Amino acid sequence: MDVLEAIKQRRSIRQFTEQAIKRELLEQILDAARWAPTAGNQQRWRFIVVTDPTVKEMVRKVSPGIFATPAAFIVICAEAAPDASDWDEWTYLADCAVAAQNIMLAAHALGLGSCVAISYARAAVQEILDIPDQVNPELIVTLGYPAEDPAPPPRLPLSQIVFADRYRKEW
Amino acid sequence: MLTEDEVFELLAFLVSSARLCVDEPKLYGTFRLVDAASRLLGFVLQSDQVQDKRSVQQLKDEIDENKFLMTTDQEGYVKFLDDLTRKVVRELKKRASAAL
Repeated sequence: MDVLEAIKQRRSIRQFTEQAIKRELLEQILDAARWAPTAGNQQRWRFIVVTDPTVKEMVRKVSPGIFATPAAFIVICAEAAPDASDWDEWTYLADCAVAAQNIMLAAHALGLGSCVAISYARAAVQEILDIPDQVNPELIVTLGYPAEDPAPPPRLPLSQIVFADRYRKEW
Repeated sequence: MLTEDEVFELLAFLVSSARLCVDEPKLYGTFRLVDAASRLLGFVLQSDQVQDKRSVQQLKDEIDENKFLMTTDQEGYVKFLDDLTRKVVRELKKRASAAL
């Protein structure tokens, strides 16, 4: 699938079938995440793949932003360097977000639906997944075969968000 | 009416939502509340102790069909909340008159 096509066709999918995802597909998706750029090539993200039904249910229950149990969760964590500055820690979230986009585009190209969630109780997710204190679960991506086909949400026109050379100067 | 598992599911949702409300925008808190209401109605519908299943189902459908307006149409979302509260009050009145 062409990357521009994938970018435009991808939707946030919140309802999934019960079909499991083969490990090979998950590996392709995680490999796409691994190739996402990171600030200073820090690569401080860590990915927890959750497919165990009991663990998945627990994660869903403490995640008000997740509305159905998917085939898999990928919990994108940032493992802080021991001497991490505030700036480093700020870049971790950006790095995790970029990796999440790679995950979602790869998933879409492989026929899977996904949605990125940030509305979950972090302390609860840390407790469920045995995540140590210096590791922050920054984002959760839900993955599964789509059980819905949502219409594209509205997008602002380029004329409203793109400027030439100076802010507010028409492009 | 609720099973212990359902109570804990709702409990996890409510306390997680309480924590999220500290950081999330104000409107998200209202969304969590109506979403919790929908989840509660879902559990009630699964039990065999609900007398007016149709009304309960209608309220749940009303919430589920409109709650995501919060992200796309704030004015429409607030109108939905107003309409929903009126519908709930009508149910309260119906039950109060039936009890007389």
